[in-house]
Amino acid sequence: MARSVSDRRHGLALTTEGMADVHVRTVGDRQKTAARLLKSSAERFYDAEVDIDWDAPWEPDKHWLPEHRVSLYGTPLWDKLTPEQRIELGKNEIVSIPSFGMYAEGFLSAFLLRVVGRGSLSDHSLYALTEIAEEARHSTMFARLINKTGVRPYRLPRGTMTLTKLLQFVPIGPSTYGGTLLIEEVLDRGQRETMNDPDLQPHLRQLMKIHVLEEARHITYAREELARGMAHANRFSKAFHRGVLASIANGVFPVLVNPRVYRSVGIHPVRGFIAAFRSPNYQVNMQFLGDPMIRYFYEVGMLEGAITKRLWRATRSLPDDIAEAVFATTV
Amino acid sequence: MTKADDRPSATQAMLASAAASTYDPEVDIDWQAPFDDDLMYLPERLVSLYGTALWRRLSDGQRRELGRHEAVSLFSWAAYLDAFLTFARLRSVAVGRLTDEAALVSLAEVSIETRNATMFARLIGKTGIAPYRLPRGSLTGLKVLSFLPLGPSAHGASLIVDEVLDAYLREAVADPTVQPHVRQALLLHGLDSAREIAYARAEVERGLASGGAISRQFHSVVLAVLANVLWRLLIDKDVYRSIGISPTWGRLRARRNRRNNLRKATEPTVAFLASAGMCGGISRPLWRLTGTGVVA
Repeated sequence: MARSVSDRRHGLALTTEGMADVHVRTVGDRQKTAARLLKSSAERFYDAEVDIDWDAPWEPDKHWLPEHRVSLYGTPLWDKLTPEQRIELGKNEIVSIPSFGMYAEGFLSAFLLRVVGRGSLSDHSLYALTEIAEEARHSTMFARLINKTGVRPYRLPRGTMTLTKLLQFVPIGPSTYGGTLLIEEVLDRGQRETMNDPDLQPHLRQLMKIHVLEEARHITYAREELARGMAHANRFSKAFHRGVLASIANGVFPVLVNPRVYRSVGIHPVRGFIAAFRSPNYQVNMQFLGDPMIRYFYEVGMLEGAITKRLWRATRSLPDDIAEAVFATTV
Repeated sequence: MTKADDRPSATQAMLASAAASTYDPEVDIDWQAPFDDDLMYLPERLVSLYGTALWRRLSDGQRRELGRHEAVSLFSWAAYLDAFLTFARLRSVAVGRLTDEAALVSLAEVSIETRNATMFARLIGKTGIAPYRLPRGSLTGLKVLSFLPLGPSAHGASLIVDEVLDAYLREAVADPTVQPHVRQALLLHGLDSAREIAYARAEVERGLASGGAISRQFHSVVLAVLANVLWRLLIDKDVYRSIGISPTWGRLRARRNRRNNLRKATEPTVAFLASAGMCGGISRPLWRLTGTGVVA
């Protein structure tokens, strides 16, 4: 049941229990999947209000993010930080990520509402509604966590809202489901490692366990829809969705951590962002976070096409063997 | 943005009730129990043709069948619109302070709206009739609406959907001739709505007080347009096909009942909106057009 593989570099276990295990050949009937996920949602869920001990204080000697996942780790800037500053930066990054997560969950929910709005209230629609409710609970949990840290949430600039409203006009299809995976799978992957870190704040570990359990269903739902969409799309539509997804990946990955976090340790946001983005560790982290998702994208054919491939290479998240396979084929 | 402690107590009530264990339609409605063939799906008096010459010619079976379709139409309206209302709630989280009390209330409302939409969808599924969908373009309309500023009209939209539905069907809850599933669902919806309505009303008043005259006119017009569109969709005219009557003919014969039922159901909502100052100015003729008796 519970399997863990060890990360050789840092010795943190990576929990794989309950991971979404979807492959192209296993994708079944839409309504059957929805019925199964609905049953699971009714049986296995958490209530963050009671399952996290919000009244317990932070533990003074525990940290917020494993050091090797802090964005500046391994850069010259990192070497100049004191141990306290490193912890402070980790704390701000752990506020920044769920802040971004709240926007992402809201955006994802708005997309799921479109699925409901154009559907016939079947199990597929009902699962979309269930997922929206779960995302609202997760956002509440993130908000409580952020408020408990005392760090103000990292809000996105207003213009982003206009962009997300315009994105509502992208037709529902592989790019929209793929876009939800970009957020869900990347967070899931990071949390599956981080939640096993005994030096982490216990509230955080519990929060991640809750999130991982429920997100596995969301990932299954999106992965299967992605495969169904790609199976039915014509080549122009496929090319469109591939391009949109690869572009979103380029836009989202660099800002998962809000550059304003660097202010907390007296570094200018632009300087910190450039240092983090150019750090060799950026690729290590993106490859780690993107691994299961990108393998799946490869499997369903989301990484084909001359432009798409190059866009994905630019994200620096392609696993080495996938990059090799993608660029080996003739364009 | 107002500070958390400036907000009225409706906020506290919403947060407290969201935290307390609320009902769960999955277990609080006996979904396994079959419908009783002798019971109605709506109280007879609420079926749109009730009391007309046409009604007298219908058999009991036809009356029940029409009621069943009208119930499905009303529940479809509620399910789709409850889902659509969460759009505005999610937006207010994103444009607000993200983690303050107002955001937490909005998130709690998302849970409530989706739970209600799910409940109505299950009820429709159990009848075996396909839902009556909103007209084509509704979703596009919603996307366009998302470019308008949030404020009193967004909270008012909760009132013209949930408060009106609740009032429209309230008498069904205690009606022993109606299917128990329907009665229970409406009871649960009423319990949830009571808190939401109190909160939405407080927010409408707060929003109007903090905005200027232009903002008030703008939100009044937006809400009046929504009321005109949404209230007309409450019962789909295709329901008459279920008993072999053409939609146009059915709607024509039912017009008096529909007007009276709607007027009765919208009365408290419009009275509140009028007293809050949302039915004046340019919006007045639009409110009159909805057929409500309150705005003269």
